[in-house]
Amino acid sequence: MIGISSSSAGVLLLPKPGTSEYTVLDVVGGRKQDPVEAQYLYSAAQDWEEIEGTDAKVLLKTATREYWLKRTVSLLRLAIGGLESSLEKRVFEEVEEILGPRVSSEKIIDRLLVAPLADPRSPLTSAKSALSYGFSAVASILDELAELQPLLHRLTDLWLSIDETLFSNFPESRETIWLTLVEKCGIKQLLKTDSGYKFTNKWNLLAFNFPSPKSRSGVSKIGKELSLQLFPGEKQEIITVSSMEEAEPTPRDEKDPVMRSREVYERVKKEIAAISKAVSEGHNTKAERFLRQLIQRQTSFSGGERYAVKSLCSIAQYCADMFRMDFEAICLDKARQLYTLDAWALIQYGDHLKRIGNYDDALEAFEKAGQLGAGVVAKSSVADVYSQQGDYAKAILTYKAIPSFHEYPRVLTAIADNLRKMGCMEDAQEAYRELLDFANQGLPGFVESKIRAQAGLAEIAKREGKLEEASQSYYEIIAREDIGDQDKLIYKLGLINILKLMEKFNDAYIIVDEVVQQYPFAMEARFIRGSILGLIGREIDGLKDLPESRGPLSWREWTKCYYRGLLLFKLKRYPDAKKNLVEELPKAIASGEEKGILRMAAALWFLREGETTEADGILSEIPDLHDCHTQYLSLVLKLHSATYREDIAVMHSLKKQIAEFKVVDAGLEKAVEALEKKDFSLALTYETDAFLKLAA
Amino acid sequence: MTSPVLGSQDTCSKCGASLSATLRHCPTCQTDAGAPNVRHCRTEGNLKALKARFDDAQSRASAKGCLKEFGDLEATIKNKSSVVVSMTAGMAKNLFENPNVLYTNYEQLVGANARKPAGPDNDRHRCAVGGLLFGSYANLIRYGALSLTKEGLPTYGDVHCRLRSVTIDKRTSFLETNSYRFVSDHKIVAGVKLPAGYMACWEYRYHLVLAKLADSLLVEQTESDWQEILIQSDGKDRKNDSFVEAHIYEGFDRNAIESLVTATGKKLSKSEKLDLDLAMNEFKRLGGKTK
Repeated sequence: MIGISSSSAGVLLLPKPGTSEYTVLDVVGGRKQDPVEAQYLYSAAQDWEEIEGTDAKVLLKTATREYWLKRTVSLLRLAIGGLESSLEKRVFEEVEEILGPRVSSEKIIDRLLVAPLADPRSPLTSAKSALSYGFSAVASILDELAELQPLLHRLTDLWLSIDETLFSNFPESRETIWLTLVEKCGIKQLLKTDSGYKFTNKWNLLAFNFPSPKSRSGVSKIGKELSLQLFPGEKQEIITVSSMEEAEPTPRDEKDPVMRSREVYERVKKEIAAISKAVSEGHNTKAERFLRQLIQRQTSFSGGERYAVKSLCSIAQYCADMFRMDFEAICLDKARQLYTLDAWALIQYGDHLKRIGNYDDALEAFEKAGQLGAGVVAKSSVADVYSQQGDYAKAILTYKAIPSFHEYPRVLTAIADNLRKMGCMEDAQEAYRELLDFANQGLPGFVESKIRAQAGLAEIAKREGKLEEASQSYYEIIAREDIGDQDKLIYKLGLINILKLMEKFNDAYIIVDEVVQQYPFAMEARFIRGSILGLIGREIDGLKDLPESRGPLSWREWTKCYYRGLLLFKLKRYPDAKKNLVEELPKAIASGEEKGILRMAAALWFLREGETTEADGILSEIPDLHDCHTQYLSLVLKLHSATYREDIAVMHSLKKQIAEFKVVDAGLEKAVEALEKKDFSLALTYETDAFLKLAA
Repeated sequence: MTSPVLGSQDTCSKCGASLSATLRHCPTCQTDAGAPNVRHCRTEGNLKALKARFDDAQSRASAKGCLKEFGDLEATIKNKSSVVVSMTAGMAKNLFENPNVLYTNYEQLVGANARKPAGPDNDRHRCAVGGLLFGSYANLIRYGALSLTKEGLPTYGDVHCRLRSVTIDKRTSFLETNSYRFVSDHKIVAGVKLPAGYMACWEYRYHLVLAKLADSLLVEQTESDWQEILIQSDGKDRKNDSFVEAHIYEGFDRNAIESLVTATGKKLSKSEKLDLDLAMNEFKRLGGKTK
């Protein structure tokens, strides 16, 4: 069926079957127009075009889409040409409203690239204006348009210089081909190709818009010519349309949907990686721009919001790994705006809130997620909140309140982990061993938990000072091939922490360095690498992995301040060390034993200053410690304070307790020896290293 | 579609070949023979019939003591009337876009016609009425109304564009009333000859107006009264609207616009208002630059 539409008039003429008359439809509202009125109103339109479709509905959809696209392009051209500010603002507002639901920014840019701008920088002024009004999507389009001008100039210069004889063998004119390129074939992507091969491939898609093999072949040859001129000196693997047609006569429209989906998926993956990279480098504006473009593209088709939410959640996860809570919040907020009923996005959002210490809101988010169907995960997440707050008992009760909780391996594992954190080592071991039994019995879903249980047992072994046994467990886990990369990262970090305690610093460094290369966004790995560099005398290098904190810290981010403070301490930069070890302490989102370690590190600073009262006060507030290395260090610090104060009784008691320790720690033994000699400076050195070795 | 009947004198002034009633150019030597709608109005039969109707109208006006008003109206039509085209705000905005200013090499890249036009076999916007009046070139006709002011058909469109007469006088013809009513009143069907004396070219438009309105003349009428009887629309049934319909052969651009006014009493959406303001803004900006 062929209809005729005018984008300026916003109407579509549909042929009336059996007659030579037309029904006039308004494309914006889809309503029929009075034909008498239409004759007078629309006869002056000069942009009538034929459109093809299977039925009237399809024609209307096409006409409507084209209408909004042309309208947006027209408005932006007027803005670029220069408008007084109030009119300009209204134009931007209109465009911003149209973008996304009706029109994709990619197509708009293609249309705006119809010819090089007389003033290539003119969009930048408009972009700046748009941004100042808060119309970021518009600003992004204009920015990109300006960016592409040099490439467009180059292409159009070459295009106009192509010999006319190349166009003589087929009916389509140079102008028709150019317009088809602009309107149908993604000229922006063509401009951005970085090789002759890619250019030719992209160009050849244009050829399929022409009906005859002769035209397609002719257009393909022109593409070859352009490619040679754009990428001179490159060995061209020339693929012509005719050879494509001979090899596999697949019309463009019948591209394998699986292939197409795969391409889209790969493209989105790359975009997500680019955004994450920009965030990691601190290029916030660039990251936000890329993010806007990705979301606009993904939401430009019906149902695209779900994909956009997935993309946003992926990026948010990267940001969380980087401790970029700010950008994580941006992504999750946007995801929630796009699709408020996505339970998993809510879970992720709640997790974000939990990590920044906003527990009440986190609980609320999880409750909502539960109402939307994410029952078990939502309840587990609530339990995680209590766990992070250090209320392990309440966490366990919450896990056990999940109906049929014993059927969920993850829940059982979480209970075991919380038992461990509480210091109930025997109960935790029993729980882990039960998980191993279930896995060995082949119960479905328990295989993954087997590995978690092994890791849990390794952690208990570590806390009991059985480092060899613990490291062996981790080596076995890492050697497995049935573990995902993300999980393997966690287990590698676990192993590294044990190797630190074993003072196998080189081994630890090799693994952590590899992890950092493999997972550049995993900031926790960088923090650990920084600590190892501090342990091997490369404090300055270590500090590069531990940048100064800006803004509030999130959960686990305290390790950065902690390690940084310790490295600064080693470098004798005591005021800076104080900032990280003492002043940041109240802000740290940590609980249980982690909080204990932080307090001890603050006490270290006061001990260096000789402020034993302060140090003692802090050390007395430390909760029960379940890790023997932490316990050992705590005793040494207390001994340090008592020695400084020359409190003989306390010194005696503490030495006795230390002697009963079965844990071997050469560094802390030397610290004790140094304290015997009242060499507090040397003691501090060993104590500092002991802190650096402590697992986070 | 029925073509208007050719007069026997409709031959090319250069090569003498017979001209097609529906084509602008001589099919033999391609000389511009003038817009076909205008040529039709200039046939001897039509001119004669129109003059007869005019003379008769003058007599009737004289009989009722309105000869002065008849003469005044004639002068007003000659000196002050032009065509007003109504359109949507979006169309008005588009009219003022000029990509040649914004871009470099625009025409070299996209050609003079930037769009892929509807094919010749699909007459745009053809309706039975247009086809009956204009045959195969119905899709090349733009419709307007003869007006003494800047306003056109009330309740039609968002904007009224009054056109500069110099840009359209050679290619515009007029029909005594709106084409739907004309076809109905004169029972015009396919194959039937169009009645003579009811269409006029530019220079004889006053004949047409006076032939139509003589009976509505009253003593002491003024220009504002005549505008009201020249264009009448109750906004209910458009087929009953009364005005002298203008037919402009082929299109016009921003340079043809003499004035741009918003239709009164029209409630516009936010987007329409924006389009209108943009059109007005561009029109004012070009105000000194029209050729």
